[in-house]
Amino acid sequence: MKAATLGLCVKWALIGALVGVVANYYLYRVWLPIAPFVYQAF
Amino acid sequence: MTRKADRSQDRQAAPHESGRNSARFASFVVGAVLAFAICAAVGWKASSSNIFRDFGRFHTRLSPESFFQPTAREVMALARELLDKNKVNVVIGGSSVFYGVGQPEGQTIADNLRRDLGENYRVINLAMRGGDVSGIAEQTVEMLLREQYRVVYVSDIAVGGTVTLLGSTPYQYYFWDARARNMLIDWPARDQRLTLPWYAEQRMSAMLNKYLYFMDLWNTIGYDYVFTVYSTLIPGHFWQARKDLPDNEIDPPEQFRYRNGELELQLIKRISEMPTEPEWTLVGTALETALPDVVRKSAVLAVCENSPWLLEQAAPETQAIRKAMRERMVKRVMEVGPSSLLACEGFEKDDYIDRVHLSVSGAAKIAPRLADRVRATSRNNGWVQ
Repeated sequence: MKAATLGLCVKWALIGALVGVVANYYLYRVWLPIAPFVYQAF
Repeated sequence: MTRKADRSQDRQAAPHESGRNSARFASFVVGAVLAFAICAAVGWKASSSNIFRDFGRFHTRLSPESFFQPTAREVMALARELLDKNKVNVVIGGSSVFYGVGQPEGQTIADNLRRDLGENYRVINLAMRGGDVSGIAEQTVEMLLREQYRVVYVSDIAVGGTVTLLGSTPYQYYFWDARARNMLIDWPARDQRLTLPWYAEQRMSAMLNKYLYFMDLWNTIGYDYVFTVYSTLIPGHFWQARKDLPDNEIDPPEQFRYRNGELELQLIKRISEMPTEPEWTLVGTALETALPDVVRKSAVLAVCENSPWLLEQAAPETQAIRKAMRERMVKRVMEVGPSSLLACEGFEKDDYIDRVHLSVSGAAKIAPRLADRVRATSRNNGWVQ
């Protein structure tokens, strides 16, 4: 029973970790401009 | 009797199931928070030291043009590695002209300047295509000056050009990043003119990145391992590690030079209108506002005229106006502090690849002129005899 609970905790902690990494990436990506730049020099 | 037994079993199972749900939720939250915190710690650690290897300049595959946005911490770590507090350090900034469009790596203005100045100087090229006097290079100069580096800032400036407050648009994220991290020189004249509200995306991003280092982390991953954003400027697979992509600037062959000669000639005519007195005043005040006085005192701003080959094809009155404009530009720049020079006088057709960009020979010709001014500025600041 305890092993089953531990397994469950590990499984959900890993899912949480994945969400944590994705959230961190989202912060990076969401503010990265994707519109083409307009250059003054050309 | 059976129903009674079922109800009794349910009552026993309910607390057990509730406990399992709590464990699930707690594990999920702990995992998410821990992973996020580890990402931030890795980002902080990664940007504490220089991530760039064999750095020449922020070429197109390593710049905001292709969605690689170096942070203030990353550029400062790079500068600390390449520069030396015991020497005079030269930071090259400005537009594609001083970045070195038309000059392959090793033959840029910065490379020539490094050779001309010799061992007592260090040179780093932080100019950006489409950049301005203000921007990534200038803001890095501020950070270096705060750390007691002896810095001469060398940049090109357009004839009659009014300097932007924070640099060209694609590079303004850098100002907000550096400002959020309190790395810039306090300059009230600039701060009073900031209009972006605190909740604007660039400011919020910079404010969060100050604590969470997500840009620093994903830049490092993109540079060393895998880049996650598609860009049309990247040949082949867009996910290639940016460290594997070399500087792709070439010395353009004859048939690719002056490709739009007729259009550029028309452009020269259009930009040959003498600015009014208030406009000349603005040229100076814009510089005073964008650049802290300590940076202006250490700056060499080079005024380069359009290719003489094109200019000679223009009407005599256009040529006369341009001559008056560039002389007035130098005078106006010097009135507000920086050293300034007409850096491309006497250049020939082959010293340019188009209206504004210098060729390999142009880069070799301009470097000694800039070197003289760098030495003079170093002497004026009491750094060398």
